[in-house]
Amino acid sequence: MNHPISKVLIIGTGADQINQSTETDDAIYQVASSLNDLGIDVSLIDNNPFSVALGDKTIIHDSKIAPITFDNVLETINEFQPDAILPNLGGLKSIQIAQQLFESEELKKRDITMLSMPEFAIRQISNPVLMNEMLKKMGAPITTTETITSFSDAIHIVQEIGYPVIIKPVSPFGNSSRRLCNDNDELAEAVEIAMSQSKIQQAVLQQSIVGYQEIELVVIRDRLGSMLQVAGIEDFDPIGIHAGDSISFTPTQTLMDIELQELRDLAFSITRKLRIVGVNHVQFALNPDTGKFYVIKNSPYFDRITSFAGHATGYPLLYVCANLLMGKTLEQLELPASFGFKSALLEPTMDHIAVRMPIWPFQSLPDADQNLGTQMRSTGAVIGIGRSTEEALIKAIRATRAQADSLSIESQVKLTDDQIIQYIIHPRANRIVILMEALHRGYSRDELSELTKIDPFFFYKLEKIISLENEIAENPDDVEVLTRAKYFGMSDRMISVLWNQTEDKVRQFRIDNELSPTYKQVDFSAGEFDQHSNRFYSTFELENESHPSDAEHRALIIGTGGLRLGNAGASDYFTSKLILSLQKQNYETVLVNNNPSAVSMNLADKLYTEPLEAPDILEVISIEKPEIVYVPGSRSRLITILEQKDLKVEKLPQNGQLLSHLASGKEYALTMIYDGTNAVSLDLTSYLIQNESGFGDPTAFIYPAKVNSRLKSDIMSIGTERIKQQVTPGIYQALFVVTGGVHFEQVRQLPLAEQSFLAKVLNLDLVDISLKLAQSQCDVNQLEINLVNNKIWAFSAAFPFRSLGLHDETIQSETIIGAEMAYGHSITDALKQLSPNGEDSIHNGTYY
Amino acid sequence: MVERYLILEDGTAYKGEGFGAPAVTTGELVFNTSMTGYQQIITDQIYHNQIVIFTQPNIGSYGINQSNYESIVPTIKGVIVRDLANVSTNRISRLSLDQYLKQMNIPGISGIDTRAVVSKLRQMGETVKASIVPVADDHAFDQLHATVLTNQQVAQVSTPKPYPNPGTGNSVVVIDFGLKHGILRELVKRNCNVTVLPYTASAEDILSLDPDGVILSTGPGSPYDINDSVIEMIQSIQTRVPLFAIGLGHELFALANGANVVKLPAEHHGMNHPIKEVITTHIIYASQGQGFAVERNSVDRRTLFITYVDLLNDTVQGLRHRDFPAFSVQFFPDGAPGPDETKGLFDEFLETIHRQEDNR
Repeated sequence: MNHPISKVLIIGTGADQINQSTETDDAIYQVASSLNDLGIDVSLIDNNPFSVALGDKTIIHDSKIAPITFDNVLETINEFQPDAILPNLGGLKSIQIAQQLFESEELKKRDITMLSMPEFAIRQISNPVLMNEMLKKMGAPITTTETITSFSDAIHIVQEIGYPVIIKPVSPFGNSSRRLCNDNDELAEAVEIAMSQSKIQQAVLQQSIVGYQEIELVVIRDRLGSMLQVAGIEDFDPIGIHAGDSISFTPTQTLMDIELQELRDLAFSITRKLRIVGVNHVQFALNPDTGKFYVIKNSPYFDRITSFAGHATGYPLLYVCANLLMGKTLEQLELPASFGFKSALLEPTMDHIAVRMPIWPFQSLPDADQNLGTQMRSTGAVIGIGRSTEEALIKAIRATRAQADSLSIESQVKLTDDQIIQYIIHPRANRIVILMEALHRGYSRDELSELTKIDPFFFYKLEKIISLENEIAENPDDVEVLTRAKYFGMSDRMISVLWNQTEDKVRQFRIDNELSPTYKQVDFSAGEFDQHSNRFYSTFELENESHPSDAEHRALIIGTGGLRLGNAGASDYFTSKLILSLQKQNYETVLVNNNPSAVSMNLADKLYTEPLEAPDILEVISIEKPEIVYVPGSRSRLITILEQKDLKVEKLPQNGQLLSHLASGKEYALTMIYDGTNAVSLDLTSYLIQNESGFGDPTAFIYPAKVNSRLKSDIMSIGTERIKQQVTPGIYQALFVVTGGVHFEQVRQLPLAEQSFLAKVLNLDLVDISLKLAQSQCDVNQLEINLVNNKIWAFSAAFPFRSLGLHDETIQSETIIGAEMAYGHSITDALKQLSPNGEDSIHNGTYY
Repeated sequence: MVERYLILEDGTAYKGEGFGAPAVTTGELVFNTSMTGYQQIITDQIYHNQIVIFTQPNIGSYGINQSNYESIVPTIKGVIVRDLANVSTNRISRLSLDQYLKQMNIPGISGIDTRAVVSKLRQMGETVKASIVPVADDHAFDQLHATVLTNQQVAQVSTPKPYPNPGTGNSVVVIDFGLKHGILRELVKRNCNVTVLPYTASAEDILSLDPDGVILSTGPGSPYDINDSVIEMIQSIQTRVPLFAIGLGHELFALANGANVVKLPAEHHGMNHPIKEVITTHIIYASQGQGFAVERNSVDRRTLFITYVDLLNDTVQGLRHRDFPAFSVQFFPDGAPGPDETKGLFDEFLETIHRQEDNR
């Protein structure tokens, strides 16, 4: 770094997908806002319409909406002239682009600095072979991978490392197989087959680490080489199941100190060797039989685990890393005012336990393969925090659902013993439920541990939960048992099911017996220092640490939890923007949410990391006494309960509403902002993909629609009339079908996906406008609206079908995982920029 | 479930569930923020006279194993945890924490709002006496108030007789103030021929063994409760052979060289404080356990220089003598539990020995 940096370009991530969701947008938002505070102009290239950061003028000086490709990044560099590029916020793809930028010498030509890691590190991260060579050279333990040309080569290696091993061909002709071998016979056959499939008669022999325990460490490093460990994370499921699909615990639950110290040393040496500045996430495999470790992956970029580490520990990871990237050292750095203790060097130590639990897409996609393997299948995750392993685990399980009746699933009871065994050996989504059922049916801890390779400690904890459930069931209305049940994290609802009562009755009984949660700070000093963290979780103990502030206005916002299919990213976009708008109106914003990847989780003034069931929310309300509660529109039961308590409730728009068609033909929507008196047009959208059963959430559309002036004036006049008939102010769409003539269908609220898209296209904070409309503080005639007239914009949803092994799946709004947006001079021009490599996207540019 | 209480001098009582031995115990209440290594902490003799609260809520999850003891007979007075995992199923463990504490006659309580107790200790900012009792009645509080804790901790934990730990390398004498096995482990790894002597050993006793170097070990309690003859021993030894002092040994080394040692308002036990090596500005993390610290202004810069400083509380964490091959650290360089990055100090000690040999 030999010139001062004043302008940084961040490479974004594109559409949310499996293995990469809103955590990157969260990281971009937080890092960009910290960079702003340091006086740095931030620019961003991204094409994700659900991004909170993209187009937000308050933190991003220049936004480029384009697919993230080498050419586009280069074009963006030419346009915005940054001094430095930040490649660690866009996942592996942005690291690969960073490497291309180095190789093309474009950075050197322009004297642009690459932040966060040097060139050789970038090269190694995108090339596992180089990485392994480096690790080998530095003496780090890695699994054996060797090229072989004969059976005797293979036998030679196996004599050293033992079975099982994996054999696969090098440069295969076409189809190639990957074979797991457990003995010499299998090896001989596998080598023969691999040789015959290889163009060059070579095969690769890999040591198999399936069944090993997986441990992940998150560390940070400053430019002078000071390092600290942010978190150690232990995966419940062994290797063989993608880490993203495993339940994860932090702090590590079964690792001894000597083992953890060894991993820490290794993570530090690798981070030092690669000269990484900022965050590094290192994954290890532990052979449970020998206690031997292997380094399996090194990811020096923000990902789902770094966001989990941040929320679990309470350490301001993104703030700290942003400062480290700009050359500050850990020693110099002071934490923001909300931290009682100012030093960034205090290594996080926890007095609570956090669990990350995956969210599955199978409710929306029942045909998808539910077997778990090396391909990630979960779409999001939730976090549960508690003061015991049981409490954190139960809270995480509760957080995966809007309402959890029990820890087992009804249908489980019907499974035969054979099916149970099958599911234990071939793990499926939600395997923890199967494992609980197996314990119920009398399998022992050791048996299950042997079959699943999961540490017996976890079965010990599951057994404790089962015996607690039995105790509850056998002792209805017993205060002592209720106390224990609450202490270990059971919800009022779960207890009510076991007691065969209503949830409300249990809740009342609990309150009558003065059993209320206490809220503890998510404090990374474990109580050693007087922190004033603004992050809390509930438990049932003596001391409550959460007290309402003396803010004049307080709003409680209920988040949408873990990301599910169906435009979930757009929901968190709305929640995030709502928080920012309320803050501008001097509201203290208090959020209850549990998605470690959500942008909203890092925006509110005060955060409760909690499940989102009605009793959880009511407890927070009794402490915070908010003026108003914002609840997602889909939570109708919660809304009723809150309204019954005379609380002022505001519904947030919801996704996925399907309105049936009256006629069929080309679909158009007129969007208008209506303040109760006047309505102003935001122009027409034309939908590309039509849902046979009605208007759903948009999956692909063009904006503004190209229609002839007669048609447009018809739509405008009918639409305006219809929208002005609405009772409350809001942003509405009048829906039309055109089949020869114009058929008005109905009026709906502007869908969230379209709202986040239009906000970027029109450079208009539509969430802020919605809020003001609801507050009757918006006069549409005062709005400055510049409609698009020289460009065509396109929106296209992305679907996770390929990742889930699905073919010929029908495109529908319930299965959207993310989206892309683009613009051009013509429709074709705009469409062809969507998803350059996206089989997962519906568009290949051939529609027009 | 056996009800037990943690009671404090100020009249507070916390109800929990008993585990370990059903004994009544009294000691100073301290908390340790380490997230791993409960076995090493429980067996570390610096906790003689003390009841330890673990802030990490899940304790016991990998049992007790034969390779992580820091003493043969632990002297800790009691163990307070939020949640006890009663397992012995780890790869190398055969004993649960509960079984172990029963064997060693140490009582424990689980189910305590440890965070609330820690917050109370932090706010009180002084040493607090506490008991673990079956009933929190007046009698129990009277007993607690009446109990006087010994200040002869070192005398009680130090070995009464010398013993060898033979090796083929350099001869090192370890003075046992409440020795932590980690020190011996590091010396054994470096092939040292070790002799452990009682803390009462005189300079003559030590020199008669003709050691290449001397280590002053960690130990419990206040350095002021230790006989002046120990200070004289240090003053004499440091001029003759390379000296490495750790923990309580470091505090005594400072006293022997004219510095002052003060009691900290709150004891610090954990492994998450950044410690700066003054000469390199390098930042390390180490296992710490201290109720006392060397007063920074009292260090005579003509005799000693400060080598390590805790960046959070500004305490002196290391000293080196200007004239003699003698140095000390407040933290535990052997880890056990805790980061490994300070183990190099044992190499530094041996290098000092080798340099001395070359000079001879």
